[in-house]
Amino acid sequence: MIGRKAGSFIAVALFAAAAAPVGHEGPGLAVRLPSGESRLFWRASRAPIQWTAADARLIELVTWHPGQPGIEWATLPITGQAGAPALTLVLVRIDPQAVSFHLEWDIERDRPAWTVDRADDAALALNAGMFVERLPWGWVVMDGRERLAPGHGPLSSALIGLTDGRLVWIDGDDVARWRGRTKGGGNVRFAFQSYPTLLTGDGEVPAPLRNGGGAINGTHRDARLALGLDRHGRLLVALTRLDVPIPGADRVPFGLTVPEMAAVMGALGAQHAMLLDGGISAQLTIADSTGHARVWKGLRKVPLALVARGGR
Amino acid sequence: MPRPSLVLALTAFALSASVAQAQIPNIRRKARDAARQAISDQPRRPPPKFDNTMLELNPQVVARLIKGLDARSAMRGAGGQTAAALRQRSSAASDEAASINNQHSDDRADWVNANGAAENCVSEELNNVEQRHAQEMQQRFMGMTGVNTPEKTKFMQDWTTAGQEAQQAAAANDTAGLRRAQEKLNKLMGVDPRADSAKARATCHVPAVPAWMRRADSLAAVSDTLAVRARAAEGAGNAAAARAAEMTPEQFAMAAERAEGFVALQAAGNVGSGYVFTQIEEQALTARLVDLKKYFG
Repeated sequence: MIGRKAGSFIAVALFAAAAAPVGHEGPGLAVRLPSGESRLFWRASRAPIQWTAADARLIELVTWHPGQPGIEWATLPITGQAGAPALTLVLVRIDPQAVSFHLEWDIERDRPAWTVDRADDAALALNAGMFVERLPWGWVVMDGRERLAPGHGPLSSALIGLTDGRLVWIDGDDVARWRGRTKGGGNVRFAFQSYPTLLTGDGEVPAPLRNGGGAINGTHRDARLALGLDRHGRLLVALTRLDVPIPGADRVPFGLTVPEMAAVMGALGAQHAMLLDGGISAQLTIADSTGHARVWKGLRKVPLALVARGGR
Repeated sequence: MPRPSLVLALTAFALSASVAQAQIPNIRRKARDAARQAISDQPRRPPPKFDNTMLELNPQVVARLIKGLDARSAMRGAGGQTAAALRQRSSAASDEAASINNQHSDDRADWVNANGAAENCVSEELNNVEQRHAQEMQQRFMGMTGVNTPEKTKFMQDWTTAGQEAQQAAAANDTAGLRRAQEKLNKLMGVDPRADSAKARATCHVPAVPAWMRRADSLAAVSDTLAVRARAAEGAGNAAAARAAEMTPEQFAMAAERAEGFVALQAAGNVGSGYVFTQIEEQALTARLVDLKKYFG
């Protein structure tokens, strides 16, 4: 048991580390405080290989606003080093039992056609999956009907919505067990895959994200959109937006690296997480508690969206 | 004749108005300068990092990228069609299915409810039939006690053989063998499962699938098949594009993504404020903007 004195010492040490500016120990991420200082919550050189709980240094600075029933949202100013600029994180957490999720497939003629402008009655809507050219890369099931077969890649994840409203998260590309449940009598209502996996198992950061190299480019900065599931069964969404006073900067595809985005999801308390298509595709809309739509637009129309509406 | 004071007032107004008009460009210029100043006041950002995946989009690389995009758009998949043509056909089939379903949305719900109730009824009917067959079998075996006849002996031998075949097939996970053995047992007992099923469906008035529903479901299936083919054509197109561009698939994917971003940002009025593209890249991409818009516009 840690005595009160030792506990105080540790708390002071943690505070000192947290309150320090983003220093010279390589890339890091920090919350920008109203005072102008920053509170560090992640450093690449000391990155955890597993996130077992939300990081208080981040989560206690998040002020959640009520959206439609079952949905909360927040914005959080963050910054980093080694090229990471001032960003805004747009955060959403959703109780899947309080809303109804649907996938929307939107292709007109031969081109993707969905944008957040087409989701004006939604409690929440965002682009879903990863798009290689025009079509989704991976598995797509809508209303119990498989529209596209699964994609294969070890760093992919899948989100499955069951007919009773529960969500199932699959780490890896083996969805064979669930594929048979998409036809008559099956309980898979919707499903989609994306990549790369950011957190797997119980908040573990996949080795290719920690060690660099391989298929994951660990240094490329882009606007990011991530989806995760926390330990309370809530769905988490995190979107980055460039936060510099230049007209149109919020849609500039520049932001975090893949390992940094894994850190954001881990610090938010995600147990599982994956990236969705970011860059110019990333877009999100949330209806606030008055029903007014908060919109973060993208620059590209996409073929697939995840939409939540009130009630079950 | 106007009074002098009025003339003076009108002249003064005309002068002040013209001065104000003349000042508008100055105000605009000042606003522009302020915006420029705001941009130049931003802390200098490091240039994009290029590596083995992310190539600098200089004029030569942009030219290779366009070669690749050209190869991708010309790539033909199954049936000799491009990914775009397959996507378009998939989309048309899906739209037609949606249109039919929209015209019959209540009809489908009614059919699903009626069919669900009828299928429950069929299930109950078949359970009853199964119980009746079991009772009949029991009675038949009980009737075999006592005097042995050649017919009884043959029946018992055939029954035992078919039963053993069924057990062996089940143990070997041989579904076809199990089905054959079950058919023999049914024949010995005078059971016709097809007739039982047809009778149960007639008794329960299982509704036929309406023609419009058959058509809509068939179109939806066609749409899905074409989407799968379109995605395969996209995959093949990307591989061909990378070869034509003399890049790895990862390099081509990154270059195409960044070029598409440039086209979209340019249309939105800000090509990234130096965060996304170097000056060399901005110049190279601007010079080939017309070509790039053919693929990304």
